[in-house]
Amino acid sequence: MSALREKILSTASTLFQTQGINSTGVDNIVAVAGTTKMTLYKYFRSKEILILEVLEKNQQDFQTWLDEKLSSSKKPADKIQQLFDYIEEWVNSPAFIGVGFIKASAEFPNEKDPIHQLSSQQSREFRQFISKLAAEASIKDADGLALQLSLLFEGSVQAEQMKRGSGAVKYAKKAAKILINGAAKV
Amino acid sequence: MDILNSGFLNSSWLIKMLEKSSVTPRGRLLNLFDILEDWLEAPVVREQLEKGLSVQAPEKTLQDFLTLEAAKAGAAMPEMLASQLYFMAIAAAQEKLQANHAQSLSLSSNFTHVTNSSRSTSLSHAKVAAAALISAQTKKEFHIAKPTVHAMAASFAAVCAIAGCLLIFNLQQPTTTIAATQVPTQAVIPQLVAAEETADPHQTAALMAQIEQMRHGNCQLIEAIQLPDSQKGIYLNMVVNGQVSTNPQEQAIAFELLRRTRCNYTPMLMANSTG
Repeated sequence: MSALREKILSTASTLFQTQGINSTGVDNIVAVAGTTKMTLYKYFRSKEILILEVLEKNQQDFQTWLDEKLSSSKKPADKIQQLFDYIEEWVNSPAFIGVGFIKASAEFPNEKDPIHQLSSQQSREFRQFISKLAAEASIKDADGLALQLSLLFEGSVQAEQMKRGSGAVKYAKKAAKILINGAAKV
Repeated sequence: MDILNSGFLNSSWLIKMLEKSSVTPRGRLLNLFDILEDWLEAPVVREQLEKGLSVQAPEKTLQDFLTLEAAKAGAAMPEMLASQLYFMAIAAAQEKLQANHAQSLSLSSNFTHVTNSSRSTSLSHAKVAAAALISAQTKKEFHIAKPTVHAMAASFAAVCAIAGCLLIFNLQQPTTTIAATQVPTQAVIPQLVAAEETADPHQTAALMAQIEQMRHGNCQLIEAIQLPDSQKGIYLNMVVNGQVSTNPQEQAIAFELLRRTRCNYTPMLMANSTG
Protein backbone atom coordinates (compact mmCIF):
# COMPACT_ATOMS: atom_id res chain seq x y z
CA MET A 1 0.00 0.00 0.00
CA SER A 2 1.35 3.40 -0.90
CA ALA A 3 2.61 5.67 1.87
CA LEU A 4 0.48 8.52 0.64
CA ARG A 5 -2.63 6.38 0.76
CA GLU A 6 -1.77 5.46 4.35
CA LYS A 7 -1.23 9.11 5.17
CA ILE A 8 -4.65 10.07 3.80
CA LEU A 9 -6.31 7.27 5.76
CA SER A 10 -4.72 8.21 9.07
CA THR A 11 -5.33 11.94 8.58
CA ALA A 12 -8.98 11.31 7.72
CA SER A 13 -9.33 9.01 10.72
CA THR A 14 -8.03 11.67 13.12
CA LEU A 15 -10.13 14.45 11.60
CA PHE A 16 -13.30 12.34 11.57
CA GLN A 17 -12.94 11.56 15.25
CA THR A 18 -11.92 15.01 16.39
CA GLN A 19 -14.21 17.22 14.37
CA GLY A 20 -16.90 14.85 13.15
CA ILE A 21 -17.27 12.82 9.97
CA ASN A 22 -19.91 14.98 8.31
CA SER A 23 -18.21 18.21 9.14
CA THR A 24 -14.83 17.13 7.74
CA GLY A 25 -14.58 18.05 4.08
CA VAL A 26 -12.32 16.45 1.52
CA ASP A 27 -10.55 19.82 1.14
CA ASN A 28 -9.77 19.75 4.82
CA ILE A 29 -8.30 16.24 4.62
CA VAL A 30 -6.03 16.96 1.66
CA ALA A 31 -4.83 20.20 3.24
CA VAL A 32 -3.82 18.47 6.48
CA ALA A 33 -2.37 15.42 4.71
CA GLY A 34 -0.40 17.69 2.39
CA THR A 35 -1.74 16.28 -0.85
CA THR A 36 -4.25 17.14 -3.55
CA LYS A 37 -7.87 16.24 -4.16
CA MET A 38 -6.85 14.46 -7.34
CA THR A 39 -4.54 12.16 -5.41
CA LEU A 40 -7.20 11.48 -2.83
CA TYR A 41 -9.74 10.56 -5.49
CA LYS A 42 -7.17 8.37 -7.18
CA TYR A 43 -7.06 6.17 -4.08
CA PHE A 44 -10.62 6.61 -2.90
CA ARG A 45 -13.36 7.09 -5.45
CA SER A 46 -15.57 9.07 -3.09
CA LYS A 47 -15.72 10.44 0.43
CA GLU A 48 -18.07 7.59 1.30
CA ILE A 49 -15.51 5.00 0.24
CA LEU A 50 -12.86 6.83 2.25
CA ILE A 51 -15.09 6.75 5.34
CA LEU A 52 -15.76 3.03 4.87
CA GLU A 53 -12.04 2.29 4.56
CA VAL A 54 -11.23 4.38 7.62
CA LEU A 55 -13.81 2.41 9.62
CA GLU A 56 -12.43 -0.92 8.40
CA LYS A 57 -8.89 0.04 9.25
CA ASN A 58 -9.69 1.44 12.70
CA GLN A 59 -11.54 -1.68 13.71
CA GLN A 60 -8.86 -3.99 12.30
CA ASP A 61 -6.13 -2.15 14.18
CA PHE A 62 -8.04 -2.30 17.44
CA GLN A 63 -8.96 -5.96 17.04
CA THR A 64 -5.39 -6.94 16.15
CA TRP A 65 -4.05 -5.08 19.18
CA LEU A 66 -6.65 -6.65 21.45
CA ASP A 67 -6.06 -10.19 20.10
CA GLU A 68 -2.37 -9.83 20.74
CA LYS A 69 -2.91 -8.62 24.30
CA LEU A 70 -5.39 -11.38 25.05
CA SER A 71 -3.13 -14.07 23.61
CA SER A 72 -0.79 -13.56 26.57
CA SER A 73 -3.22 -15.24 28.94
CA LYS A 74 -3.75 -18.93 28.44
CA LYS A 75 -6.86 -19.59 30.52
CA PRO A 76 -10.16 -18.70 28.83
CA ALA A 77 -11.63 -17.57 32.16
CA ASP A 78 -8.86 -14.96 32.47
CA LYS A 79 -9.42 -13.55 29.01
CA ILE A 80 -12.94 -12.31 29.63
CA GLN A 81 -11.84 -10.89 32.99
CA GLN A 82 -9.00 -9.00 31.33
CA LEU A 83 -11.01 -7.66 28.41
CA PHE A 84 -11.89 -4.40 30.16
CA ASP A 85 -8.37 -4.03 31.55
CA TYR A 86 -7.14 -3.85 27.97
CA ILE A 87 -10.00 -1.64 26.85
CA GLU A 88 -9.05 0.74 29.64
CA GLU A 89 -5.41 0.64 28.62
CA TRP A 90 -6.37 1.39 25.05
CA VAL A 91 -8.78 4.23 25.90
CA ASN A 92 -6.24 5.85 28.20
CA SER A 93 -3.40 5.65 25.68
CA PRO A 94 -2.48 9.01 24.12
CA ALA A 95 -3.15 7.61 20.65
CA PHE A 96 -6.81 6.90 21.45
CA ILE A 97 -9.13 9.14 19.50
CA GLY A 98 -12.37 7.20 19.73
CA VAL A 99 -14.17 4.21 18.36
CA GLY A 100 -14.97 4.53 14.68
CA PHE A 101 -18.15 2.51 14.56
CA ILE A 102 -19.69 4.27 17.55
CA LYS A 103 -19.06 7.66 16.03
CA ALA A 104 -20.22 6.58 12.58
CA SER A 105 -23.47 5.01 13.71
CA ALA A 106 -24.33 8.20 15.60
CA GLU A 107 -23.59 10.40 12.60
CA PHE A 108 -25.26 8.14 10.04
CA PRO A 109 -28.53 6.97 11.61
CA ASN A 110 -30.18 5.97 8.34
CA GLU A 111 -30.24 2.17 8.12
CA LYS A 112 -29.97 2.16 4.35
CA ASP A 113 -26.73 4.09 4.44
CA PRO A 114 -23.70 1.83 3.72
CA ILE A 115 -21.76 3.66 6.45
CA HIS A 116 -24.48 2.91 8.98
CA GLN A 117 -24.57 -0.69 7.80
CA LEU A 118 -20.83 -1.15 8.20
CA SER A 119 -20.78 0.43 11.64
CA SER A 120 -23.61 -1.73 12.94
CA GLN A 121 -21.93 -4.78 11.43
CA GLN A 122 -18.71 -3.89 13.30
CA SER A 123 -20.64 -3.36 16.49
CA ARG A 124 -22.25 -6.79 16.02
CA GLU A 125 -18.91 -8.43 15.28
CA PHE A 126 -17.37 -6.95 18.40
CA ARG A 127 -20.28 -8.30 20.43
CA GLN A 128 -19.80 -11.73 18.85
CA PHE A 129 -16.15 -11.56 19.77
CA ILE A 130 -17.07 -10.92 23.43
CA SER A 131 -19.67 -13.66 23.25
CA LYS A 132 -16.99 -16.09 22.07
CA LEU A 133 -14.74 -15.12 24.99
CA ALA A 134 -17.68 -15.61 27.36
CA ALA A 135 -18.55 -19.00 25.88
CA GLU A 136 -14.92 -20.13 26.17
CA ALA A 137 -15.04 -19.09 29.82
CA SER A 138 -18.02 -21.50 30.18
CA ILE A 139 -20.55 -18.76 30.78
CA LYS A 140 -24.06 -20.05 30.27
CA ASP A 141 -25.76 -17.07 28.63
CA ALA A 142 -22.73 -15.93 26.66
CA ASP A 143 -24.78 -13.80 24.25
CA GLY A 144 -26.59 -12.04 27.08
CA LEU A 145 -23.38 -11.22 28.91
CA ALA A 146 -21.79 -10.06 25.66
CA LEU A 147 -24.69 -7.70 25.07
CA GLN A 148 -24.34 -6.28 28.57
CA LEU A 149 -20.58 -5.84 28.25
CA SER A 150 -20.75 -4.28 24.81
CA LEU A 151 -23.35 -1.77 26.01
CA LEU A 152 -21.08 -0.92 28.95
CA PHE A 153 -18.24 -0.51 26.49
CA GLU A 154 -20.19 1.77 24.13
CA GLY A 155 -21.63 3.85 26.97
CA SER A 156 -18.28 4.42 28.61
CA VAL A 157 -16.44 5.21 25.39
CA GLN A 158 -19.06 7.82 24.52
CA ALA A 159 -18.95 9.31 28.01
CA GLU A 160 -15.17 9.36 27.74
CA GLN A 161 -15.34 11.13 24.39
CA MET A 162 -17.54 13.84 25.89
CA LYS A 163 -14.99 14.44 28.60
CA ARG A 164 -11.49 13.05 28.17
CA GLY A 165 -9.87 11.58 31.26
CA SER A 166 -13.19 11.27 33.07
CA GLY A 167 -12.42 7.69 34.07
CA ALA A 168 -15.69 6.35 32.67
CA VAL A 169 -13.97 3.14 31.61
CA LYS A 170 -12.67 2.58 35.13
CA TYR A 171 -16.24 2.22 36.41
CA ALA A 172 -17.30 0.24 33.35
CA LYS A 173 -14.48 -2.16 34.21
CA LYS A 174 -15.76 -2.53 37.79
CA ALA A 175 -19.30 -3.08 36.51
CA ALA A 176 -18.00 -5.65 34.02
CA LYS A 177 -16.35 -7.59 36.85
CA ILE A 178 -19.65 -7.58 38.77
CA LEU A 179 -21.48 -8.89 35.70
CA ILE A 180 -18.88 -11.54 34.82
CA ASN A 181 -18.64 -12.82 38.39
CA GLY A 182 -22.41 -12.89 38.67
CA ALA A 183 -22.96 -14.75 35.39
CA ALA A 184 -23.98 -18.38 35.73
CA LYS A 185 -21.58 -21.03 34.48
CA VAL A 186 -22.44 -23.95 32.27
CA MET B 1 -36.17 6.12 13.00
CA ASP B 2 -33.58 7.98 14.94
CA ILE B 3 -34.21 7.86 18.64
CA LEU B 4 -31.74 10.65 19.32
CA ASN B 5 -33.47 13.13 17.09
CA SER B 6 -36.98 12.01 17.90
CA GLY B 7 -37.26 14.39 20.83
CA PHE B 8 -38.60 11.59 22.98
CA LEU B 9 -35.48 11.36 25.12
CA ASN B 10 -35.75 14.99 26.03
CA SER B 11 -39.48 15.22 26.46
CA SER B 12 -40.91 16.47 29.72
CA TRP B 13 -43.24 13.46 29.57
CA LEU B 14 -40.34 11.01 29.92
CA ILE B 15 -38.88 12.92 32.86
CA LYS B 16 -42.27 13.07 34.59
CA MET B 17 -42.72 9.32 34.09
CA LEU B 18 -39.28 8.68 35.54
CA GLU B 19 -39.86 10.97 38.50
CA LYS B 20 -42.91 9.07 39.64
CA SER B 21 -41.66 5.62 38.67
CA SER B 22 -39.92 4.80 41.92
CA VAL B 23 -39.27 6.13 45.39
CA THR B 24 -35.54 5.46 45.21
CA PRO B 25 -33.06 7.32 42.98
CA ARG B 26 -31.58 4.01 41.87
CA GLY B 27 -35.03 2.84 40.83
CA ARG B 28 -35.68 6.06 38.93
CA LEU B 29 -32.38 5.68 37.05
CA LEU B 30 -33.07 2.05 36.14
CA ASN B 31 -36.65 2.67 35.06
CA LEU B 32 -35.35 4.62 32.09
CA PHE B 33 -34.71 1.28 30.43
CA ASP B 34 -38.19 -0.08 31.20
CA ILE B 35 -39.98 3.02 30.01
CA LEU B 36 -37.95 3.05 26.79
CA GLU B 37 -38.73 -0.62 26.29
CA ASP B 38 -42.47 -0.09 26.75
CA TRP B 39 -42.45 2.95 24.57
CA LEU B 40 -40.67 1.18 21.73
CA GLU B 41 -43.15 -1.69 21.96
CA ALA B 42 -46.07 0.67 21.47
CA PRO B 43 -47.82 0.05 18.14
CA VAL B 44 -47.49 3.42 16.42
CA VAL B 45 -44.11 4.49 17.70
CA ARG B 46 -42.23 3.57 14.58
CA GLU B 47 -44.43 5.73 12.36
CA GLN B 48 -44.19 8.54 14.84
CA LEU B 49 -40.43 8.28 14.95
CA GLU B 50 -40.29 8.59 11.20
CA LYS B 51 -42.51 11.63 11.20
CA GLY B 52 -40.76 13.19 14.12
CA LEU B 53 -42.52 13.96 17.35
CA SER B 54 -43.70 17.30 18.50
CA VAL B 55 -42.93 17.11 22.16
CA GLN B 56 -42.90 19.62 24.90
CA ALA B 57 -39.33 20.56 25.69
CA PRO B 58 -38.58 20.02 29.36
CA GLU B 59 -37.13 22.52 31.77
CA LYS B 60 -34.27 20.17 32.41
CA THR B 61 -32.78 17.72 29.94
CA LEU B 62 -32.72 13.98 30.50
CA GLN B 63 -28.99 14.12 31.21
CA ASP B 64 -29.54 16.80 33.88
CA PHE B 65 -32.25 14.67 35.43
CA LEU B 66 -30.05 11.56 35.41
CA THR B 67 -27.17 13.53 36.92
CA LEU B 68 -29.37 14.71 39.80
CA GLU B 69 -30.65 11.21 40.46
CA ALA B 70 -27.15 9.74 40.25
CA ALA B 71 -26.03 12.24 42.88
CA LYS B 72 -28.97 11.30 45.10
CA ALA B 73 -28.08 7.64 44.68
CA GLY B 74 -24.64 8.49 46.04
CA ALA B 75 -22.62 8.07 42.84
CA ALA B 76 -18.94 8.89 43.06
CA MET B 77 -19.13 10.83 39.78
CA PRO B 78 -22.79 11.62 39.09
CA GLU B 79 -22.34 13.48 35.82
CA MET B 80 -20.24 10.72 34.35
CA LEU B 81 -22.59 7.97 35.52
CA ALA B 82 -25.51 9.88 34.02
CA SER B 83 -23.80 10.21 30.69
CA GLN B 84 -22.84 6.52 30.63
CA LEU B 85 -26.41 5.49 31.39
CA TYR B 86 -27.73 7.89 28.78
CA PHE B 87 -25.52 6.47 26.04
CA MET B 88 -26.22 2.91 27.06
CA ALA B 89 -29.94 3.59 26.83
CA ILE B 90 -29.54 5.10 23.37
CA ALA B 91 -27.38 2.23 22.13
CA ALA B 92 -29.84 -0.35 23.48
CA ALA B 93 -32.83 1.50 22.04
CA GLN B 94 -31.19 1.72 18.62
CA GLU B 95 -30.45 -1.97 18.78
CA LYS B 96 -34.06 -2.72 19.59
CA LEU B 97 -35.32 -0.51 16.79
CA GLN B 98 -33.11 -2.35 14.34
CA ALA B 99 -34.34 -5.69 15.59
CA ASN B 100 -37.96 -4.51 15.33
CA HIS B 101 -37.24 -3.35 11.82
CA ALA B 102 -35.70 -6.67 10.80
CA GLN B 103 -38.69 -8.41 12.33
CA SER B 104 -41.22 -6.33 10.44
CA LEU B 105 -39.34 -7.03 7.21
CA SER B 106 -39.40 -10.75 7.77
CA LEU B 107 -43.07 -10.55 8.71
CA SER B 108 -44.04 -8.74 5.57
CA SER B 109 -42.16 -11.14 3.36
CA ASN B 110 -43.49 -14.15 5.28
CA PHE B 111 -40.09 -15.78 5.33
CA THR B 112 -39.92 -16.78 8.93
CA HIS B 113 -42.11 -17.37 11.88
CA VAL B 114 -41.53 -14.63 14.35
CA THR B 115 -41.88 -15.75 17.89
CA ASN B 116 -41.75 -13.82 21.10
CA SER B 117 -38.28 -15.11 21.77
CA SER B 118 -36.93 -13.21 18.79
CA ARG B 119 -37.88 -9.90 20.38
CA SER B 120 -34.88 -7.82 21.19
CA THR B 121 -33.78 -8.04 24.79
CA SER B 122 -31.28 -5.22 24.46
CA LEU B 123 -33.03 -2.90 26.89
CA SER B 124 -33.41 -5.47 29.63
CA HIS B 125 -29.75 -6.39 29.25
CA ALA B 126 -28.87 -2.71 29.29
CA LYS B 127 -30.77 -2.44 32.55
CA VAL B 128 -28.75 -5.26 34.11
CA ALA B 129 -25.53 -3.62 32.95
CA ALA B 130 -26.77 -0.26 34.27
CA ALA B 131 -27.52 -1.81 37.67
CA ALA B 132 -23.96 -3.10 37.81
CA LEU B 133 -22.61 0.30 36.80
CA ILE B 134 -24.63 2.06 39.49
CA SER B 135 -23.39 -0.47 42.03
CA ALA B 136 -19.81 0.12 40.91
CA GLN B 137 -20.21 3.85 41.57
CA THR B 138 -22.22 3.60 44.77
CA LYS B 139 -20.45 0.88 46.69
CA LYS B 140 -21.31 2.48 50.00
CA GLU B 141 -24.96 1.55 49.55
CA PHE B 142 -23.97 -1.99 50.28
CA HIS B 143 -21.69 -1.46 53.22
CA ILE B 144 -23.17 0.52 56.02
CA ALA B 145 -20.48 2.97 56.98
CA LYS B 146 -19.95 2.82 60.71
CA PRO B 147 -19.51 6.58 61.38
CA THR B 148 -22.86 7.48 59.79
CA VAL B 149 -24.59 4.77 61.76
CA HIS B 150 -23.33 6.27 64.99
CA ALA B 151 -24.18 9.78 63.93
CA MET B 152 -27.64 8.64 62.97
CA ALA B 153 -28.09 6.67 66.15
CA ALA B 154 -27.22 9.79 68.10
CA SER B 155 -29.71 11.91 66.21
CA PHE B 156 -32.25 9.13 66.58
CA ALA B 157 -31.87 9.27 70.34
CA ALA B 158 -32.38 13.01 70.26
CA VAL B 159 -35.46 12.71 68.09
CA CYS B 160 -36.79 10.04 70.40
CA ALA B 161 -36.41 12.23 73.41
CA ILE B 162 -38.44 14.94 71.74
CA ALA B 163 -41.05 12.90 69.97
CA GLY B 164 -41.57 10.42 72.72
CA CYS B 165 -40.27 7.65 70.52
CA LEU B 166 -43.08 7.66 68.03
CA LEU B 167 -41.42 6.82 64.78
CA ILE B 168 -43.60 7.96 62.00
CA PHE B 169 -42.27 6.93 58.63
CA ASN B 170 -44.27 9.54 56.82
CA LEU B 171 -41.92 12.14 58.18
CA GLN B 172 -39.13 10.57 56.21
CA GLN B 173 -40.99 9.76 53.07
CA PRO B 174 -44.28 11.40 52.10
CA THR B 175 -46.63 8.87 50.54
CA THR B 176 -48.22 11.12 48.02
CA THR B 177 -47.02 9.86 44.66
CA ILE B 178 -48.61 7.09 42.67
CA ALA B 179 -45.21 5.50 42.54
CA ALA B 180 -45.43 4.63 46.18
CA THR B 181 -47.80 1.84 45.27
CA GLN B 182 -45.16 0.16 43.14
CA VAL B 183 -42.35 -1.91 44.45
CA PRO B 184 -39.12 -0.26 43.31
CA THR B 185 -37.57 -1.91 40.31
CA GLN B 186 -34.48 -2.35 42.37
CA ALA B 187 -36.27 -5.21 43.99
CA VAL B 188 -36.73 -6.99 40.71
CA ILE B 189 -33.15 -6.83 39.57
CA PRO B 190 -30.80 -8.79 41.76
CA GLN B 191 -28.45 -6.33 43.33
CA LEU B 192 -25.12 -7.16 41.87
CA VAL B 193 -22.29 -7.00 44.28
CA ALA B 194 -18.78 -8.10 43.58
CA ALA B 195 -17.02 -9.84 46.38
CA GLU B 196 -19.20 -9.73 49.48
CA GLU B 197 -21.65 -12.36 50.48
CA THR B 198 -25.06 -11.30 49.24
CA ALA B 199 -28.57 -12.19 50.19
CA ASP B 200 -30.94 -13.99 47.86
CA PRO B 201 -32.45 -11.35 45.53
CA HIS B 202 -35.95 -12.63 46.34
CA GLN B 203 -35.24 -12.09 49.99
CA THR B 204 -34.07 -8.54 49.27
CA ALA B 205 -37.14 -7.93 47.16
CA ALA B 206 -39.42 -9.21 49.92
CA LEU B 207 -37.73 -6.98 52.45
CA MET B 208 -38.03 -3.93 50.23
CA ALA B 209 -41.66 -4.70 49.47
CA GLN B 210 -42.42 -4.97 53.16
CA ILE B 211 -40.71 -1.67 53.94
CA GLU B 212 -42.47 -0.09 51.00
CA GLN B 213 -45.81 -1.35 52.29
CA MET B 214 -45.15 0.19 55.69
CA ARG B 215 -44.79 3.60 54.12
CA HIS B 216 -48.56 3.58 53.66
CA GLY B 217 -49.29 3.19 57.29
CA ASN B 218 -48.42 4.64 60.61
CA CYS B 219 -45.74 2.36 61.98
CA GLN B 220 -43.87 2.35 65.21
CA LEU B 221 -41.34 0.28 67.06
CA ILE B 222 -41.30 1.69 70.53
CA GLU B 223 -38.54 -0.70 71.66
CA ALA B 224 -36.24 0.82 69.03
CA ILE B 225 -34.72 3.07 71.66
CA GLN B 226 -33.57 0.07 73.67
CA LEU B 227 -32.02 -1.84 70.81
CA PRO B 228 -28.28 -2.45 70.83
CA ASP B 229 -26.41 0.06 68.65
CA SER B 230 -25.72 -2.45 65.86
CA GLN B 231 -29.42 -3.24 65.48
CA LYS B 232 -30.42 0.38 65.84
CA GLY B 233 -28.15 1.23 62.91
CA ILE B 234 -29.75 -1.44 60.75
CA TYR B 235 -33.23 -0.30 61.78
CA LEU B 236 -32.49 3.31 60.90
CA ASN B 237 -30.74 2.58 57.63
CA MET B 238 -32.99 -0.06 56.24
CA VAL B 239 -36.42 0.52 57.73
CA VAL B 240 -36.46 4.25 58.30
CA ASN B 241 -34.30 5.39 55.41
CA GLY B 242 -35.19 2.53 53.06
CA GLN B 243 -31.56 1.78 52.16
CA VAL B 244 -31.71 -1.97 52.07
CA SER B 245 -28.38 -3.69 52.48
CA THR B 246 -27.73 -6.96 50.69
CA ASN B 247 -25.89 -8.46 53.60
CA PRO B 248 -27.85 -11.58 54.67
CA GLN B 249 -27.15 -11.17 58.40
CA GLU B 250 -28.29 -7.56 58.36
CA GLN B 251 -31.38 -8.53 56.42
CA ALA B 252 -32.23 -11.21 58.97
CA ILE B 253 -32.08 -8.59 61.73
CA ALA B 254 -34.20 -6.23 59.65
CA PHE B 255 -36.85 -8.92 59.14
CA GLU B 256 -36.96 -9.61 62.85
CA LEU B 257 -37.31 -5.88 63.62
CA LEU B 258 -40.07 -5.53 61.04
CA ARG B 259 -41.90 -8.41 62.66
CA ARG B 260 -41.90 -6.49 65.93
CA THR B 261 -42.95 -3.20 64.34
CA ARG B 262 -46.62 -2.36 64.75
CA CYS B 263 -48.43 -0.70 61.90
CA ASN B 264 -51.79 0.95 61.63
CA TYR B 265 -53.10 1.12 58.08
CA THR B 266 -56.46 2.69 58.92
CA PRO B 267 -56.66 6.09 57.28
CA MET B 268 -56.19 8.79 59.88
CA LEU B 269 -59.62 10.39 59.44
CA MET B 270 -61.48 7.12 59.65
CA ALA B 271 -59.56 6.14 62.76
CA ASN B 272 -60.68 9.35 64.37
CA SER B 273 -64.31 8.94 63.48
CA THR B 274 -64.52 5.39 64.76
CA GLY B 275 -62.20 6.05 67.61
